[in-house]
Amino acid sequence: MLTTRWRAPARLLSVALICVGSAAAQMTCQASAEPRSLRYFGAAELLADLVIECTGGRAPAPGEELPEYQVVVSADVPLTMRTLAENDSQSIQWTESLMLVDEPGPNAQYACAPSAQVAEEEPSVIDCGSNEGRANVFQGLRLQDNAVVFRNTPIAPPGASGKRILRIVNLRADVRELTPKPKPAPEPEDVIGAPPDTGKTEPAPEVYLTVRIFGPGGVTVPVAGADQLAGTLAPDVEFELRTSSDQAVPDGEPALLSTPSLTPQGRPEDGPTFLIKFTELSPQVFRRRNVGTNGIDPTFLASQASPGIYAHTESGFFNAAFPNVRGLNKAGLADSGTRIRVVFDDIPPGVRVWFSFREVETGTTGYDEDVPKARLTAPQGGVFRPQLPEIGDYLEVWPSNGHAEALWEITSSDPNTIETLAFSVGLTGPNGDVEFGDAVISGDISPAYAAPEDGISIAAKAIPSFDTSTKIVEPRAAFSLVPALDMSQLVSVSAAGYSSAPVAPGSLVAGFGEGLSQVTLSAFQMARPVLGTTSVNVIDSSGALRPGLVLAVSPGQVNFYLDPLTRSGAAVATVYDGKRPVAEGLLQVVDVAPGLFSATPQRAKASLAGQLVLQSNGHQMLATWIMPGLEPRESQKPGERAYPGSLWHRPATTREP
Amino acid sequence: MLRSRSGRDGFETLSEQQLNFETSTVIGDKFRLAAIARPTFLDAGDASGNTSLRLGLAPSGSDLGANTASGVGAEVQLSSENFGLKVGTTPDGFLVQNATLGLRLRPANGPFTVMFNRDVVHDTLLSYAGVKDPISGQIFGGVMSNALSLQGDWAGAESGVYARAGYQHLTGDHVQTNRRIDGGGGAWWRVLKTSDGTLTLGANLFGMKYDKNLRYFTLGHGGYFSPQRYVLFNIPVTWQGTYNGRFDYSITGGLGLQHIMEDDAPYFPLDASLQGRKGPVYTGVTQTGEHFSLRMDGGYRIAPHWTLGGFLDINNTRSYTNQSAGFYLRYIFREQPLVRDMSIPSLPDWTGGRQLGLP
Repeated sequence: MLTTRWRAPARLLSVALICVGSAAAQMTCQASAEPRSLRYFGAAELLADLVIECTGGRAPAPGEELPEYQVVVSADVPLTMRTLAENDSQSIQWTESLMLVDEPGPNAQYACAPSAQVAEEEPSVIDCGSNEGRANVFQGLRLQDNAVVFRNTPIAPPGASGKRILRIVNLRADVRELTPKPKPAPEPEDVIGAPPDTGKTEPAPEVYLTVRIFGPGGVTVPVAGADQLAGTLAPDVEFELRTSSDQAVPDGEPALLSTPSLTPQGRPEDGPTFLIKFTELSPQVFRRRNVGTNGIDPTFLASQASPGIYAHTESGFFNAAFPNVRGLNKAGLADSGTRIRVVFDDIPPGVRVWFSFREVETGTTGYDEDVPKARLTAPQGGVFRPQLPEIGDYLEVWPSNGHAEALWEITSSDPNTIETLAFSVGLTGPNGDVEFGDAVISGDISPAYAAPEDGISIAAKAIPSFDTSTKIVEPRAAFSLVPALDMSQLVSVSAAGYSSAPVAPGSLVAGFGEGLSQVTLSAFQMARPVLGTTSVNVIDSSGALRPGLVLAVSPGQVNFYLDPLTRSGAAVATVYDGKRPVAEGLLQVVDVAPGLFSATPQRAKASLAGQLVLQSNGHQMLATWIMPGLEPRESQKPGERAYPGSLWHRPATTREP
Repeated sequence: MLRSRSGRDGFETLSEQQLNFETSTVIGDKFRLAAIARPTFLDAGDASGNTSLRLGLAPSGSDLGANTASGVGAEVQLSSENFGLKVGTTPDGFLVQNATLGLRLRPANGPFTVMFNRDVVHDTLLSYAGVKDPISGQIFGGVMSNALSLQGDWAGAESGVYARAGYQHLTGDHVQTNRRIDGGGGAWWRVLKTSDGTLTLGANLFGMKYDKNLRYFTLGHGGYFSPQRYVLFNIPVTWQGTYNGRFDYSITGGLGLQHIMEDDAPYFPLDASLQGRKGPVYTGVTQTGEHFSLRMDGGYRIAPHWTLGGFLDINNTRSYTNQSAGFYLRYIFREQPLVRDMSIPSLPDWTGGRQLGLP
């Protein structure tokens, strides 16, 4: 028993010991994060995982009730991870943000859920109220636009020698407000007095996360580095409108200028086409859905439930084994890969718009790899269901009131390279029923859903969720249908004597005009659909496209072989330089028109002739024969032979026949 | 004493029930020494799930549970005609407890009075008692106003004028610090005098301005009315009379106009991260409207040792309707004459005021 004399010092000592003990019992933490690249357009960009390592505190004894902590995470921009469930009685939203304790592996994750919703057959969800310390996955509650809380989380302090790791995943943010605004062009007078450009660039906008931890009684748990850089904005995508031959289209000009007669029924790749092209401005802009998806099966979902592994997908931490308790089975899941959208408006009536089902090799209308990097999807996401079967590599997107849009989902991408995706657009139309007009194009990396004014908050939308207000393509001219093109008149006659008599299917036709070609060329062997850059399309009286086989071209003349299937009647022949129509004119086609044909562009120098063969079915065909005295062309190699219908050429500068 | 303040339940509404146990004595016929114990119960009502208001970090619509506070405050006063001092505490059962302090000086019995008053802001449960944030468990609120004022009174028998200017520094637990300046003045004229009483008519102008609008309930706010511009002009009419020589009473009614302008207020003024770059703000309000006030006081000397009194006050000063009523019963050890004209005037309380019914 202490005497009265020692009572006061003893009390002081006991108070001091309690204070020291309390200090030792206080858990302290250290936060860290590995910043991620955030795209300018992102309305729901996945931020870095926030990792909090805690030490100290008094480790609870076995069976002892665990202290509960409140972990509040806020960002300096709106947090837009998806809401998965709501509490009916209160306006509390359960989000897809999760807190993992001690980095549990995919098969050792036990999500905390209310006891009423815990089913015995769901071993991955346990009643966190049991305080058994088994729950190691906790779901974030939305406090407000930019903050979540992991509330009443039972956490066992690790003690002086232990360590507890809290990893917060699936935090998404709307970073569009940070996107640098393009600087206005300086006024001329400003330029004169403007300071010299120092070459310095504005620092990339950054997003920060802040964590606070409150222990029992509202006591603040010290967190070193509570403010963490969670991401840095990076430029996203450059959009280009290109010609079908992958030539740039100047601003303000349409990629395609056409006439109704140039917009035929038939295969879209045979008609006028152009390209839309998206190029990453930083390597991780295009992302697929999750690790299990690819171009072959983009809808297959696989787990991404390994803490700390960044999969370069739109999905974040995602455990496919979680059941549908408070929406846990969707936590972290992105509904699609990155989506790219183009929208056409003011499409002239009658024009049908076709899009390539997937990306094409730039400069062509064909695919260049076996595994697609993107695929056409429905405007609301999911499988695209066209009204008509696909033709070639194209699917028709049915215009409605002059509006048509195409949405592609990224299904495969390389995080380490800058990638380019090009899609081909083809136009067709019923013959004569196409009206004139100017269509405009806009595009974005893009919403499958309408803008926020539809009453749906971003947080309630699918991920990735983008907003139509974020245009990466401001509306600009796409294509125009005009009554007549600014091109020369093509006068087509039968190559048999160059008379103005009608031509017959399968016969040689000579077309005269201006600027038909930049060079003079002859097809030395087979007649070709394209000679140099020159091609000839014929729209016959049925509206069908009948591409010609070109034999020879010069600036003033083109000789071509008329498709044997061309229907008789008035037809329109158009000469193209690349995809640019350069001359157009009428052509009278009759079933039979016998004659002798010269194959060279200049009749005086003709050195090869064809023979008309009248077949039993009434059609005629061309057979070539060599006139006496002709020699093979100079480049003819020994052993090379002429094929029926091929051309032999004798240079005009040498001997006359 | 009962007091109620209108507003949204769970937040702005406040019902206060207070008992004052007071004892006082006179020291050397110059000073009055009083000791007061104040059991106090506050009830802010139950927050409706429909309100958009938030408390602390909790989302709107959260279940906030009981919203009450109770405790016993204490105060000691020492006062004379030209001097007043108070020292006390806010109720000890409140989540936030503070010391109160007051000092009044009227130099040379002149027209000027200097007053310092440190007291709790009684507007809401948050400002008065402090509350616990339902999310973090942090306690915040308990706003103390440290007010310094200078007032001048020049009064005669028939009329008078007055003017005042003041400055306040306001602090609270996890509440952003605020400042207020105020000033005003007015005049009154006695327009009627009879054997039963006098009627006075006045004109009053008052204005105040707070640095920040902190009248909301999220973490960092104080829950007290703090407009960036407040102007009040009213015409008070007062009848002060005596009935039967034993009942003193006063009735004051006023009508006027008041103008209120509040700035937008960030949800979390103390926490940049929670607030975010373009975080949510409470939209400011500007309104001009009528002002009314009615106050009745009375005191009745029922026996040589006993006095009974009460008051009723209703007004819409500031942005809400405030109603309070109370009564008191005093036992005076020294026997007093029942007729007022034969009494020796008593000493005022620390603020310089006297309760009716007291000699």
